[in-house]
Formats: sequence, structure tokens, C-alpha cells
Amino acid sequence: MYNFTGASFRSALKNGASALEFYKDHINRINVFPVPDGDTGSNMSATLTAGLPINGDARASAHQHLGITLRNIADGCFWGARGNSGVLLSQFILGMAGYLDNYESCDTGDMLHALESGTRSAYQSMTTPTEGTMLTVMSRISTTFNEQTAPLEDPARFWESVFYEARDAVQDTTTQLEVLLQSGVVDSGAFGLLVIISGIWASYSGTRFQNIDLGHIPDRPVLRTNADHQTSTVSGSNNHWGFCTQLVVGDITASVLDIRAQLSDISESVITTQNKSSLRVHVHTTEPAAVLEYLREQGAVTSLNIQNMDQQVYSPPVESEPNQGVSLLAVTQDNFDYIFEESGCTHIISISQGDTLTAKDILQTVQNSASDELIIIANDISHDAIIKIFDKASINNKTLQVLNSHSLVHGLAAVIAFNPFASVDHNLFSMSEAISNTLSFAINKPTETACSKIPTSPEAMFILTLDGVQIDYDIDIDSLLQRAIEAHSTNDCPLLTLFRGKYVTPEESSELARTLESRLPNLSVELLTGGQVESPYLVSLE
Amino acid sequence: MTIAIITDSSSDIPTSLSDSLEISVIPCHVTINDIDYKDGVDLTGDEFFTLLKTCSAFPHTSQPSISEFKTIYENHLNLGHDIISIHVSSKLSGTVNSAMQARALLGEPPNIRIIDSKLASLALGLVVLQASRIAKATPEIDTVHDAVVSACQRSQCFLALDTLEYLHRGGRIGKAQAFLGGVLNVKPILKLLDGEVEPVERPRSIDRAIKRISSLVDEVSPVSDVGIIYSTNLNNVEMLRESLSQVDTPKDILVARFGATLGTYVGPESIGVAVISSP
Repeated sequence: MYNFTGASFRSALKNGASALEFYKDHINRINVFPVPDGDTGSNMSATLTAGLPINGDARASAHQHLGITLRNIADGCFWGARGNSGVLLSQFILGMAGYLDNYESCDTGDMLHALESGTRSAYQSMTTPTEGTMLTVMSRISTTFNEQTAPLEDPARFWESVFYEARDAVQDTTTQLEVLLQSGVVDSGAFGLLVIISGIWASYSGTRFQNIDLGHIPDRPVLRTNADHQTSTVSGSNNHWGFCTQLVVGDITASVLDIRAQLSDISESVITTQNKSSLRVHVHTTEPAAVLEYLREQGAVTSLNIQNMDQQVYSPPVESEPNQGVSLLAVTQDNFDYIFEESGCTHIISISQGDTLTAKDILQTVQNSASDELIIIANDISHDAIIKIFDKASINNKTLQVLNSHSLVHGLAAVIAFNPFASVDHNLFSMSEAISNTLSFAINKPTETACSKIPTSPEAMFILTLDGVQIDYDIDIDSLLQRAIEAHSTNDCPLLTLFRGKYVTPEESSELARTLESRLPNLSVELLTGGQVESPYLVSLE
Repeated sequence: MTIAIITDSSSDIPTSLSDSLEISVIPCHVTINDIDYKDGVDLTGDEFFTLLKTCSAFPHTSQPSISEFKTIYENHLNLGHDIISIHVSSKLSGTVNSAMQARALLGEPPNIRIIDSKLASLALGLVVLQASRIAKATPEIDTVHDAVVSACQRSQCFLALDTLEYLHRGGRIGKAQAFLGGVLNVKPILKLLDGEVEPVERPRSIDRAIKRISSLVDEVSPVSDVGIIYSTNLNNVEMLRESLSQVDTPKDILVARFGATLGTYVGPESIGVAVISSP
């Protein structure tokens, strides 16, 4: 009968700590739960290292007593525990040490009981234990062997079995926590524990931990920021993310490795877990039908779940809440697509010069939205008639409100005032207020009609419009804008935003901004690329 | 019976004040360039924001360890003190969990009361200061506990950040993600709601943000306690103080600086106000 001694187990845990240090950055990168602060690997590594100080070797090697050795390690981890993951790990080791306290050495059966004790201790340490985390892996490894399959006597075989159970448990975390599923990663703490176990197994089997296959661990989560929000065009929507496709396949004939390799060719984020007779497959793909077709050739598909990740990714920020909040849909053009999207407008319908918008375009975007309540910012782009159809209408139980901002400049002011977590009414009020506090100017070249009203050299002139009505003209844009600010600003510190047209260079607009700021000391000017064709500048004044 | 008031360094109480009022502040940990610092002990706010400018990797914070809580609790219990331990929102940090584990290790003594404030920074700090005053006047643990719980519910902070990048990179952005990114130079205003960060508005300049913060204070007035919290720019403090003088607030305004823990998430050029509304 083999006995784990203090020295051998300490040495194995040290190898686990080395493995943790080796994979630390990878663990940090996939940290999305409970908060995505990218420090799980660092915290677990710091915690375990604290239990295994370099200068502790001499003291530890002085005795072989397993209980005393593990108690010393547990105490070190306890004192040095860092972060939630570190606390969990230290409580786990503390629980193991508690069970083995009086053991000078122990067999694999006792080691299994120690793992159970560690698991209980870790669960008790959390005020609200969550499955799909390190806790689940602990729970799974402590039930690696049941009464029918008594623990193996050989320590390497024992830890090998524990490792494979842990590896499966780690893969399963993806489907146990919504945030992991949406981010396409496994739980970072669970992965960290697997890494430690791989080090222990490697130590007892005399191999290098680097040679152990930890399974498919995505390198980083799927990024979900506002910049990923949906931009559809009149010609159709772009599908960036595809479908999260999960299947269970029974009676498979090919090897799992072959199936995984094939799936990797037609999909991403391939995760396969296997129990006795069935293979669970998780992939991200733009063509779920191809994945289904392939797997049908490999065995009997008994379960299928396909989710459109665009809807998950593009919906408002807190998807887990039943109320998806209010979303914005805006009809924009030129570089304003980008500006609106970057400013938090969830759905953009981009329209080119001369194109017209159909009811179908809007309907499609509304139906694809995860929000039940949408505010449409019309921006006065040649479709008032269509928009009116939807005013206060309800499509598939979705409530639509239309805010006619009359210009892109006003539309952007409304977007900035929008808060997805406030009610529709509150938003309509604050967005309308923002519009009324913003003056929307445009600098244009005079039209033929306007030319007839300008006394001299109309071709050299620029005209200034306010809300589409011509109010001034001049040969210099800076003089035009200076007069407009002096005449219309009601703010002590006015803020002017210049949206540069397609045919204005960045140098010209920067020069204009500098001139205005030097003439009007309290003025702040922001420059953006509007890219509009007709007006050299669109201008907002707040 | 003496009641010991304990908090953590995310309360951002100036050290001179916590020392003079004998408030025990357990430091949170901040790791910068692989060096572990105890917030407020090894690193002042000034030193932290200087380091933040130059550090190669984003800093990481972690809660005080169970053992650090256990040591402080034991010290006070040995002195015969009752303990009220008031901490940063459990939705933002595992600090409350560490505190509870420490109490469990000590056998769950009934005279250690741990309160999840659902607050952070000076909103927590003002509550702790109020707790200290009440504890000196009323050495009855149930009374102080109830008063602190009530003050937590009436405490609020409004912060204007220069950028949400630090909050985002630190993983605490929550619902304020809706305000992330953007090509406009906005100064997002955030508040705490039920222990989490909640977006309020996006004014397009710091002077507008400061005026808006004052009007938000006006909306929750009358207030009994006010504090200004800032990261790097004292000009903003003076602008906010001037702006607050236009609304109904007490004249005595505490000014404090973000420590390393909260500084990691708010970044430079941040400014805010914490208030406790009158009961």
C-alpha cells in the first residue's frame, strides 16, 4: 500500500505552484467571473506560493509528517490568500489539512477523504457558493471514485483520475454560468485548480507538467463592448458572431480527437466533453447547419441548442436581467454611423446618399433587437413618412417611440443624453431637453436660389444655416462661426463641435478650431470627422 | 463597553482623521509591477497616482486577507471591545467575505457586527465617521449597528470620471459599460445603486459635470454630511466646492483623496461628492 508522505506531497504541490506560475497569464486573460479583473491566475499563484516559501524547504524536509507539512502549507496560504480565488484555494487546502491533521502519512483513500473535506471547507467559505466555478471542480474531484470504483493504490494513477475528472469539470463550467457561455471561456479559477492538479499528477508520474494536455482552453474571452454593437446596412445585416451551437451526440464511431479537428475547420471555440456513451459538443459557428450535418454523420444527435450570439452580444449591457433596458436605433449616414455607434447607439441603420429606407429595414432591426423598448432617432433623413408608421406602434410586443431630432447634430446630442437603464419616458424627456439645449448649424456653399440674394461674389461665400434656415453669409468660415457663437450662445463656457465634411482636410479644421478658441477664450472646440458630402461643416453649439 | 469601529481602506478616510478618531482601517492590497502594497500604509494617494502613470501593467487590487481581519478582531476582543466592522460593497469586492470568514474562525462572537455598506469610497467613509461619533456617544452595540445600517441606506456618492477606461480594465464597470467608448470628450457621471456602479449622465466637459454633480446633491438634500473626493486635480475640488455653495449643503465639507484601491478604478482627474441625506 502506497503512502503519501509530507515530503512527497509538498514536492507535488510545489510542482503545482510552478505550473500555476507557468499558466498564470493565461488564467488572468480568461477571468470574467465574478468580476472580469484579470487577476485570478496572479491571486491563486500568490496564495499557493505563500504556502510554499523557498526558505520553508529546510524546515519542511526536517520531517515527513504529512499532517504537519500540510498544516504549515495551509497556514501559509491562509495568511497569504489573495482575492476570492485565493481565499477559495486556501480554504480548500485548509480543509484538506484539517482532515489529515493527525496523519503521519496516508493512502489514496484518505487522500480522497481529504479532498472531500477541502471541498466542504471551500463551500462553507463562500457566502453564496456559485456552481460553474472552482467549487464545482472541487466537488467533482472529491467524487472521482465511488463505492464501486475504489481509489487506485498507485499515486500517479490516483492523481491521473482526479486530473481527468477535473478537466471534464472545467470544460463543463462554460455551460454552467451564463457569463462564461457568452464570453466563450471556461471559469478561470476552475482552470487554475486544474493546472495545480496537473502539476501534482506530473510530480507523482515523473513527467513534466508542460506535457500534460489541459484540454481546449480558449485564450481570451469574446470581447463585448459598445464598439461591438450592431451596425446594419440597408442592403442587409452583417453577422459578426454567428451561433453558439451545442449538441449531444451518442453512439459516435470516430475518435473524439478526429471530431474535434474536423469541427475546428468549420467552427470556433470548440469544446467537447465526453461521458461514457455521449459526446457533448459546444462550438461557435456562422453555419450551425454544417456542424449539425457533420455530427449527424458521426452518430445520433440527441440534443441540439442553437443561440444567435449577435442577439446576445448586441443586446444592452446587462443581458442576464429579464428587462433588457431601452435601446436606441438611429438612421445615420457617412461617418456619423461610427460616431453614433461609439456614443452608445445600439442599432444603426446606415443609409447612403440617394437611398431610401423601407419599413422592412426598420422592422428587421427592431425584431433583431434584444430590447423590448426602442427609441428611434429619425435624424430627418428623408423618411418621416415611414417613421410615422411606427410612432408609438407595437411590433412583436416591442414598444417603439420616435424622436425626430431633425438633424444628425441634434440626434447625437440626444444619444449622449440617453441612459439605457432609465425609463423610456425619462429618456424622451432628457433627450428632448438635450436637443433643445443644442443649436444645430451648417456651413454650406450657397445654392442658386441663395446666390441671387448675396450681393457680391456669391461663389466665394459660405452661408450659415441654423436649423436649416439661412441666417448669415461670409467669405470666412471663422467669422461666420464667431458671429453665430456671440449671437446665440447662452452658456458662459460654450462648447462647439465641428463635424468636418468630406472635402475639408484635418489641417483646415484644426486651424479653424485654433482660430475660434483664440478669439473666444471661454470657448471649447471639439473636432470630429463627419464625412458629409454637401456641407463643409456641420456644427453643434451647446 | 467600548465599541471599536473598523473599516477597510476603500473608505478613503484621510489617515489623520482615522487616527485621531481611533478608527481601525484594514488596508486593501494593490499590486503594481508585481509589488504588493498595502493601501494607505505602503502607498499614499500621491505616490499611487504617480506610479499609475508609469506602471507597465494595470494594477490589481485584492481584499484584506482573512488573517488580517482575524488579527485586528482578536486585538480588539482582547481589549474587551465590541466591534462594528463596516465595509465596501460586496458586489465590488470580497472584503465582506474575508471579514465574515475571520469572524467564523473566531467562533462567530455576537459582539462582532459586520456590515456590507453597499457603498464605496467616501460614501462609505462618511458613514464610518458618523459611526465613530455615534459609538462614542452611545456605547450600545445594537443602537450603533442600527444607526450605521440606516446611514448606509442614506449615503450616496456621485463621481465624474475623466475616462471609464480604468473602471473597465479593472472589471468593475457594470452597467456603466453603456457609457464606455465614444469619440466625444465626455465626463461620465456615475453613482452607486444597491452596491453597484450605475451610469447617470455624460456631460461634455468637466465644468458641466461639476455643476451637474451639485444639482444631483441638491436633489437628495437636505444632507447632514458632505465630502469631496478627488484623484489628482485640486482645481476641480475648488470648482466643486464653489458649485456646492450654491446648493443647500453644510458649510463643513471634508476633502479626501482616492487611495490606491479606488484610484485603480477611477483613474486620474476624477472628482466626486459623497453625502448622507438627513433622516
